[in-house]
Amino acid sequence: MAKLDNILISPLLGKAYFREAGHWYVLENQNEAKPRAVHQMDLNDLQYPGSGFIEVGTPKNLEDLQQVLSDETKKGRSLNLFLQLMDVTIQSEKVLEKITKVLDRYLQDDQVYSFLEGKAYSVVPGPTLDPVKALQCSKYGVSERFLKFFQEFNTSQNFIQPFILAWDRSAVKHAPDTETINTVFQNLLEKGNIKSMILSLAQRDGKSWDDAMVSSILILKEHKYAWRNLFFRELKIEISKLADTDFIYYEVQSDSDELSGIAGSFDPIEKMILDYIDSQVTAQKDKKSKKRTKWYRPWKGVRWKVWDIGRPADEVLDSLDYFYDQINDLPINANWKSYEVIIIQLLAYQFENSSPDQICMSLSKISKVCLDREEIIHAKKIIGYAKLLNVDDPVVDKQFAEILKSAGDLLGSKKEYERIRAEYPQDVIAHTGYAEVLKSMGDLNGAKKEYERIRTEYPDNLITQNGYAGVLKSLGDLIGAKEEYERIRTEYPEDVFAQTGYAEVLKSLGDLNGAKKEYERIRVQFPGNITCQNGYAEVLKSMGDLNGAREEYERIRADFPNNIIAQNGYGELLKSMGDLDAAQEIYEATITANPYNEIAKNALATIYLLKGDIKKAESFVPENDNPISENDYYWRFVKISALIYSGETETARVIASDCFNSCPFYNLKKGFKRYRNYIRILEKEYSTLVSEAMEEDDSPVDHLMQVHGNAAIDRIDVARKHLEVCKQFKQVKNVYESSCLLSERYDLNGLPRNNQNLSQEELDKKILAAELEAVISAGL
Amino acid sequence: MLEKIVCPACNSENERNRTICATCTGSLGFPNVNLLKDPYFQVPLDSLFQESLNKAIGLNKKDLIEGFCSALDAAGKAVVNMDLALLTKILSGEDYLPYHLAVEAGKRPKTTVLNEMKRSTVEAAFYASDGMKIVYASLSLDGIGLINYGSISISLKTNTIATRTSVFSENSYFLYDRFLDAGWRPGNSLCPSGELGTWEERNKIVINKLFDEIIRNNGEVSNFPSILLKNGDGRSEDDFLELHIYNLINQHHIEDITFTKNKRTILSEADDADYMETQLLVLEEKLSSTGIDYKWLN
Repeated sequence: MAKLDNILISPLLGKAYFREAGHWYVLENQNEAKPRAVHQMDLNDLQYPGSGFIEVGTPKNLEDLQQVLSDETKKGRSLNLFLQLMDVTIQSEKVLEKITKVLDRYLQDDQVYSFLEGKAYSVVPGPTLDPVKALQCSKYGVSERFLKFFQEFNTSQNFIQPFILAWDRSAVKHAPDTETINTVFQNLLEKGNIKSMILSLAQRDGKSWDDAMVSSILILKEHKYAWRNLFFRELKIEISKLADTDFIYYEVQSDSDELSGIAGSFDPIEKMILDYIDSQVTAQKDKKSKKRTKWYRPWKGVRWKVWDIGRPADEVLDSLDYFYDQINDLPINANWKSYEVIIIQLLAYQFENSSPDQICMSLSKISKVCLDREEIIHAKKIIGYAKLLNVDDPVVDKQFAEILKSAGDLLGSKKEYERIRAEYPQDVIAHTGYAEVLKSMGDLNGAKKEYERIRTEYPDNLITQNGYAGVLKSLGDLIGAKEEYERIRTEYPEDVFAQTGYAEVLKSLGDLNGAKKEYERIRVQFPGNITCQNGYAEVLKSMGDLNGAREEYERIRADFPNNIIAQNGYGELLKSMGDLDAAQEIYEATITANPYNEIAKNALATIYLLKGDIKKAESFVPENDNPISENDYYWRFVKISALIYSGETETARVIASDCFNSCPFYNLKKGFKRYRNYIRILEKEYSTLVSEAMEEDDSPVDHLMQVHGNAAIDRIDVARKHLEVCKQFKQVKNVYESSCLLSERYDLNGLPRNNQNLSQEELDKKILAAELEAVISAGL
Repeated sequence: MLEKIVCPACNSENERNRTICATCTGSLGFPNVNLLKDPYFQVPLDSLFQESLNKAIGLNKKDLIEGFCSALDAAGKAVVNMDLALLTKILSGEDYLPYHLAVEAGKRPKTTVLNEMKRSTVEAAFYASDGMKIVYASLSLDGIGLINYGSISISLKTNTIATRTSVFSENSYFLYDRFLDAGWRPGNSLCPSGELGTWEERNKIVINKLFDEIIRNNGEVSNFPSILLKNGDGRSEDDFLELHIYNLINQHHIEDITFTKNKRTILSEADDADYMETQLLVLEEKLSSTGIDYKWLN
């Protein structure tokens, strides 16, 4: 046989595959084995999860291949025995003794020893592997080498994960590409440098760490990697964040006085966290009997230094659902003490079972739960605790940026996201969060551009795809948004956001039946999803079935008593039905629980307008000459209404027109047009009103305006057509009343006449008042 | 050429290779099975089977055919053969994933060179991209599979694989060549029908293929397993029905295990008997903890 080429070896299976004269063969590591042709079912070998093939670069003759295969098989077997020795499911003394003896024999081979060392220090042990168990097997009588191997591994194992994480983070910042950094890692692994670094971390041996770093840099120097110094400097910083590394910690700060000075004012949770940090530091100090660990700036964040990897993240985080559910079950206006009790329980549990990053993660999640409930103050307070624990956690930072956004500090949120993006350029959530802030700030084109960029970089990211479709919708490109959502929901049928997004676009396009049908289907697919349920109720409302919507909202409120969106939706419905007192009660309760809830405040101001208390309504309106966000524009509606009530029609017209021209949010733009149309009616500019009618003006109030405009210029047939649409909304009190009055005034027929005693002037006055109420109540 | 598949939940029509309904997102089943459920494959298979039955009736041997079918119904199993290392890993909770899925899941590195192998071409020719999601097995009556692929035969629980298994009359590698010789142009047309079917139709494929042998055997039950599956001296001499199981298999799918070599033989053949002995001990401990039935043949 000539030289064999394209050789692949599976050490664990003890098989070598190679190609000769265009045909594939397999050689097995058995006594007197001969190569045989590869067969289709050999492909099943590749299905073996741990087969781990090695490519043999240079062609070999058969004899050499047999030797390589034998050597590699030994290595594969040593790895297998190593894992089996740690496998917690293998408990029989007889089996463990046998494994120990055979592994000990294998480890006497230098090649096998360095191979296994490399493997051991590059893989994080899973939950079913226990290195202590392996070390205990030394009782069966083992060599010095075996004992040293497992002693060192046992000491190091908690530091492998932080080291690899720090390595990856540093690589992202400085290494040119994944392939190069993997090659470097492999190279250093084989030379024992990775093990030396990890072991020195574990043993807090600064000198060994420095030796390993210098040696690594020298190795890389041979390869002329210009980025090596920056990389190792970064690695050092990352390690200082992730592991107990005061021996390499060079940003030492001592603020113990500052800490003790403010400790007395800490709340119980703060105190608990600081005690926890302190206990960890003390434990570490006792263990090491070394110099005092230094830390600094408690409230601005402690640079976390004692890093004890807890239980596997999944296991711990799964068990935390209990606490999240408890928070979710709290009534919206529950006092802070209720939250405090739950958080204290959670921390007590996590201090025993979790690492600080896991605790930060769960605090961030609780903060998010609060934010979803629009409890911004609580959300902010809780994220403060997480920051106390770790000032540099991107999960915490992102949640903080979201809180700023929800609290209306859009610029602050934008800045925060910019900072996170710069620090963690691979963090896609930071990018989408940034795009969403741009959207909230009204920079829809900027947000669109940003999403386009993120989509190119992360084509499979679902949040990005939905975000992009959402921006298109906000820009009024409803067809584009529909197409996007259609594509996403076909590709990801389990994604509820794409499904509800699609239904909402149908609604915006005026296909209310289609939207209703969609929501009916989605409600079945995602029975616990509150967004689907609220969306369905809103569609019923848009279709004029206010009683149906009311029933639906009452059911939702019973099932999800703490859902703010459902509360506000229900309030809006009551307002449309004319039950202002009941609506007011709902909104006041919401504002008591969530003082930041702008929607509820805006709706309450509107109710005061409808009740004729203009001053009270105006008192809600924030001073702001330069509207940017959606909320800013919402308040403009109240302002315009108040001006109309006060007779300042011209100022109202200017603001409505300005907002119509400048507002980037498609839905709100339609609202400003509605106000502008009302002012045209007030000023009897009927022809202009009629000429500006667009197909997209499809709300009942839009039709109402058209009834009036067309009837006033004797286009009775057109007015009647619009009246027919308005008649479908009998349950929308203001619309129906206005329709009846217009029908009576212009003899459009078909609706009750109750004002025959009024003069035409009085009737006109009544119509304008009813229409204004309809415009104010219209919502969006 | 293929008929659309109708969604059982919403009655919408879908392409046969879809796994989820485009309209209601309900499950449509497994694409390898759905493909072969099309009349294009079913009708010729049925008519060939009918011919076999008529022939048997003409020969007054229908009972022999029925006897073999009953044996298949009662004892026919999907069997995967493997070696000790692989079985130990599966009993430790690892999934036995189709190669391409394992690569996608990041569970194993890509072996670009091996990807050049004809197998990938064959899989794609029969199932397009779904060919990448196949685990191979053979149909066996005595729990012993193709020992040229490993001395341990793993019988799978029928109820865990029946709905996702398709059946080929022989090794797909050879079938592919035979079809090419007959003028098939993969990618331009569907492969010839009559020799491929679903798990439900395994008996038809067996009878069509092995009719003469079954008749010749004259009902001798002890010969049934070796009629169905013949282990050759080498792999190319093996004769069997190839089963294609969609998606992964794992320890929960195992019904029982047959070790075709006894421990003494295994140890004597091993290059490192000591190592092999540890692996046998580990395997037995794993087996006893899973409660799976197993037997050693002498």
